[in-house]
Amino acid sequence: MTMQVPDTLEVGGESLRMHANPLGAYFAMAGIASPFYGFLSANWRGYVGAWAILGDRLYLAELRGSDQNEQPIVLKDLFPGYTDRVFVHWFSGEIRCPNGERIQAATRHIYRCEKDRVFTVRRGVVTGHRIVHNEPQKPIQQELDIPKFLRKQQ
Amino acid sequence: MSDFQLYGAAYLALSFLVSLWLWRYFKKETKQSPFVLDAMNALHPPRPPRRFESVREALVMITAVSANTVIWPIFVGNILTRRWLAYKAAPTVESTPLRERHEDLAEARGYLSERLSVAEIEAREMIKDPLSAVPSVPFGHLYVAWLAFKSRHVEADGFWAFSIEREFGDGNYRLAGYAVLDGTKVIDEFLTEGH
Repeated sequence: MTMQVPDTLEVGGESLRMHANPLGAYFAMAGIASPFYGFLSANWRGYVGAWAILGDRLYLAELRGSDQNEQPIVLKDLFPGYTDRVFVHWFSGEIRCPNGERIQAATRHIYRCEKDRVFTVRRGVVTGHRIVHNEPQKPIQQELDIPKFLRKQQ
Repeated sequence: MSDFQLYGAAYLALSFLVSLWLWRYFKKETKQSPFVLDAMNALHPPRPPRRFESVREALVMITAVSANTVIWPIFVGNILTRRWLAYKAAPTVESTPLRERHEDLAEARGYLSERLSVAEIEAREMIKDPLSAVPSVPFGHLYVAWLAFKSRHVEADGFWAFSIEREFGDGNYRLAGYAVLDGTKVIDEFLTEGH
C-alpha cells in the first residue's frame, strides 16, 4: 500500500502531519457517503484537510478534494455557511502526530518519527496531550518472509 | 467396512455439519447494525489487500476446518454453556410493566444508562462554540442526521442513552449515543461518540 498523504494539524503555530481520520467519522455518524473520490493511490480519501487546535478545541479549517467528476469540493460545500472553520464536535479519539527525525518503522507503509505528539480529543475538545518517544524497529517477519525478488524496491 | 471406519466416517460427517453450524453461528453473533459497521469502517478504513492475502486466507480456512474437525465438541460445549448461563441470567420480563422491564434491561445489559424524552435529549445535546463554528441546533453539524433518526421512530419506542467501553487491542474503544428499543431489543442507534 502506498503511504497516504496526511492531513495537517496546526497547533501553537506549528504544522504537524496528522494520523487520524475525523472526517471519516463525520460521514459515518451523519449517515452520508463521502462525496470525495480518490484518484491517487497516495490519497484514497480523495481529500486533504487542514485541522487546527484553537484554545482547547479541534477545528477543520480547510478542505481540498474533488468528486468523481473532478469537481472541486471545499469546506463550504460540505458544511454550507461555514467558510473559515468548523468545530469538530463529532470526533472523539486520539490524534497522533509524528514529530522530529524520521526513524525506521516495522513496515515501510508507516511514517514513524523519533516522537509522537498525541492529542486526546473528546467530542471536539482536547482533553489531553502527551509525547511518546519511539525507538527504531526491525522490519516485521511478515515482510522478511516475502522473497527478495518480490519485495517492492524502496 | 469395519466398525472403526464406520464410526470414523460418522464422526467426520458430524464434524462437517458442526462446522457449518458454527460458521452460521459466528456469522450471526458478530453481525452489527449497518450504522455501527459504517462507523467502525470509517474509524478503521478498509485497506487494499496485502500480498498473498487470498493464499493466507485459504490457509487460515483450511487450518480452521482441520482444527474444528478435532476439537468441535469443546466449541459446542462452550456455546451451549454460554447460552445456558445467559438464559439463567435473563430477567423474567413477561409479567412486569414496560418501564420496569426497561430498567431491568438497563441493569442487565449494563450499557443503557437512562431513558430520555426527545426534548431532554435535544436540550442536553445543544452544542455551543465560542468561535460560532457550529450551528445552534441539537447535535450541531449532525442535526440533519438526528432529524432523520428521529423521524424513523416515535417517542413511545423508548430513547435510551448508552455508552459502551471495552478494551480493544492496546487501548480502549468507546461508543456512545442514543438507542431506540422495541420491547427488549435495540433496533436503532445514533452515535455521538465512536472511537
